Amino acid sequence: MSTARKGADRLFWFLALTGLIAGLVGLWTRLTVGHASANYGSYIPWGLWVSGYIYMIGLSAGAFVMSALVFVFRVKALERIGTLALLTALTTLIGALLMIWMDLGHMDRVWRMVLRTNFGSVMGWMAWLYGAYFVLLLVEFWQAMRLRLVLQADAPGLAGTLCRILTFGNRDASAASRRRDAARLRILGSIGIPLAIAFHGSVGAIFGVVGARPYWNSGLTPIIFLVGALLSGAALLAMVTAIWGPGKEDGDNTAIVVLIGRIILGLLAFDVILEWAEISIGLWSSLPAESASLKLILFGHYWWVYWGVHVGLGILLPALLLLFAGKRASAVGWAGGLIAATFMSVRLNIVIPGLAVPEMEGLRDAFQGPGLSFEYFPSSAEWLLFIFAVSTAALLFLLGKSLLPVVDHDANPDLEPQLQGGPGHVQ
Amino acid sequence: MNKSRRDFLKKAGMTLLGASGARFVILGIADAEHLPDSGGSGVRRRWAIAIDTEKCASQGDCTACIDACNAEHNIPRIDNPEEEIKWIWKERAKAVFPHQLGNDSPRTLRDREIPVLCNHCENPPCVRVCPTQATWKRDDGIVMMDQHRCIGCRYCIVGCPYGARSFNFRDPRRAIDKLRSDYPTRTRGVVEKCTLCAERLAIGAQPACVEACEATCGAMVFGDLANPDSAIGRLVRTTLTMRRKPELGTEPKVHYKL
Ligand code: SF4
Ligand code: SF4
Repeated sequence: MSTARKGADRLFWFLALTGLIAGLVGLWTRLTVGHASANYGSYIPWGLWVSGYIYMIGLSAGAFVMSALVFVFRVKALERIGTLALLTALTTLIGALLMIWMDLGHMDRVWRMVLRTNFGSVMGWMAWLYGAYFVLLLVEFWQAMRLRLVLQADAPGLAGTLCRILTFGNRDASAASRRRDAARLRILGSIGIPLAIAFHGSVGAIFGVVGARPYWNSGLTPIIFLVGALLSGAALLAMVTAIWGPGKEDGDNTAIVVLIGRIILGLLAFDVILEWAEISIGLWSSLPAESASLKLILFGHYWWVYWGVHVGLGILLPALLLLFAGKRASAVGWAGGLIAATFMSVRLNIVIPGLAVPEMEGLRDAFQGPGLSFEYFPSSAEWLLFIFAVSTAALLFLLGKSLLPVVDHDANPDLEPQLQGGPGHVQ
Repeated sequence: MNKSRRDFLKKAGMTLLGASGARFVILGIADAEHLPDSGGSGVRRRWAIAIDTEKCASQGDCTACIDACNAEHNIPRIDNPEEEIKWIWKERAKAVFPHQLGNDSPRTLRDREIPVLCNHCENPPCVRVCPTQATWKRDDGIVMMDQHRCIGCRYCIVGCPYGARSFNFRDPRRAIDKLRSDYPTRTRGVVEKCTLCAERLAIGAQPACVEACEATCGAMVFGDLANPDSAIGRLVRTTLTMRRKPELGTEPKVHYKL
C-alpha cells in the first residue's frame, strides 16, 4: 500500500470509529425521546433521515449495477472489483435500512410492512423489493466470494478461521466449481439488475406519485432517482477502488479507476441533462406550485447547498478533474469521492423543498410568517443519528475488506477462471 | 358484507363493549343503521359535512366544535404548532381556498376563520399510500385510522393534500387536559386524524363537532349525501358550495358555503 493509500485508509477508520461513537449519542436520543429531538414537524414531516436513506440506497443500487458489469456483462477490465462493488452495495444497503428503520415512529412494528402490506402503496411494494434485494445481495456476495474463501481457508489467524467458517464446508476449488460459480453469479446478477432498478425506481415513485406535492409529482422523478443512484454509486466505487482496490502493485488499479472515471463522466453528463430538463421545464412553465420549490432550491435560504455543494463540489470540480486529470487514479478517486459525498445535498434538495411548499398556505403563515423559506434545519440529534448510520455502513465495509479476501492485491491467476469460459466475455 | 356476518360482528362488538365498558372496541364494526338521514334505501352511505362559513363567522372566535372534538377524543394540548395534534381547527378562508379567493376578493371573506378537518375524501390519497393498511376507507366513506397498525412512516401526512393529519412527536398522554376513559389514547410515534366520530355514529349520535355547533349557531350540517332527501343532500343540491382543491380529484366530503 502506498503512503497516500495508507493515510486514506487510516483516515477512514478514524472517521468511521469516531462517527460511530459520536453517533451513539444520536442513537440514544432517538431510542429515548423518539422524534421529539428532530426539527421536522407536521409541516415538513420528512427530514434528514429520509434523505439519508435515499442517499445510501442510491449508493447501493449504483454499486450493485457496477458489479453487474462484471458478473452479468463480464466486462473483463472491471472483473477484479466485482466483489468490492458487491461489498459496497451490501454495506450501504445496511446503512440505508438502518436509517429508515430509525425514522419510523414505531420501529417495533416494521414487520407490518411485510406481513400486512398494502400492495396499493408504492411503499408497501418497496418493503418486499428490499427484502428480495437484501437476500439476493447476501447470496451473490457469498457466491462471488466462495472461491476466495476456499483458497484462504487454510490461512492462519482470524481471517483464515473466518474464511473456513464462511465456506460452510464447501471446499471445492475445481475448474468445474468455478464455472458453476460464474454461471450462478450471472443468474443472480441478472435477477439483481431489474430488482435494483425496480426498488430504486420505486423509491423515486414514492415521491413521484404524491399528487399533493407538485415538485415531486412527475414521471421524471423515478428516472432522476435512478440515474442519480447509478452516478453516486459508481462515484463511490471509484473512490473505494482508488483507495482499497486491487492492482496497485501491477498497475491494474489505474486502468480500473480510469475506466470507472469514464463511466462516471458519462453518467454525470446524463444527470446534468435530466436536472436541466427538470429545472428548466419547472421554471419556464411557471406554475407557481412547482416553480416555488425550484426557486427555493436555487435562490432560497439554502441556495448555497445547490450552487456551492452540489454544482460546485459535486458537478464542476469533479467534471474538471475527470476531464483534465482523468488518467490519474488519484484524481478520479477524488472526483468520485466528491460526487458521492455531495450527492447527499441532492437528496436533501429532493425531500425538503418538495415539502416546504405547504399543502395549505395557512400553515406557512402559521409557522413562519409570509414568504417562502425552508425553515427546517436538522437538529444535532438528527445529524448524530445520520452519522451513526453512515459510520456503521463505513465500518462494516472496512471490516469486510480487512477480514475477508475481497480484494486480491496481486493478480491472482487462481481466481481468473472464475469469469472465463462463460459466453459473452467482454474484453 | 352479508347480513349474518355483520350481525355476528355487531354482537361480538357489543359483547366486547359490555365487557370492557369502552366504546372504542366497536370502532369500524358496528353499522349505524339508525343515524340521521340514513334513508334506509340500501344505497351505500356517504357521510358528509357542510359548513356555512358566514354563520360560523358570525360567532366571532367561537371554538365550540374544536373544544368538543378535543374533549371527545383525548386530544393532547401541545402549544408548539409544529407538533400539535389537530383533528379540527380554524384557518383563514384565503388559506383554505387559495385559488378561489384572490387578493381582490372581499376582505371579510378572505379573512374569515373557518373550520377545517379531514375531508374523508372519496378518493383518499392517504389510504393509497399507507404501506400497512393502517388507514382505510369504510363502506360508508369514513376514512378510518387504526393506530395499532400505524408504523409512523408519515407517508400519509406527505400524501394528504389538506394537512389533515398529525404525527405524535411526543407521548400525547402527558398533555391531555381531562382524560376520558372511554376513548383510547394514542402513543408516541403514530399518526392520527378526524374519524368523523365513527364511535358516535355507531350509537346513532352526530359527530361531536356538529352537535356542539348545533348548540351555538348551527353552521354545520351532517348527514348522508347519498340520500337526496337528507338535510345535507338538499343543501348541497340547492346551494353553491365549495370543496378544497377539487382539481386533485380527491372528492372531499366537507362542503363549504362561503
Ligand atoms: S383529507 Fe387528507 S387525511 Fe382526510 S381522507 Fe383526504 S387525504 Fe386522507
Ligand atoms: S404513518 Fe401510519 S397511517 Fe400514515 S402511512 Fe404510515 S403507517 Fe400508514
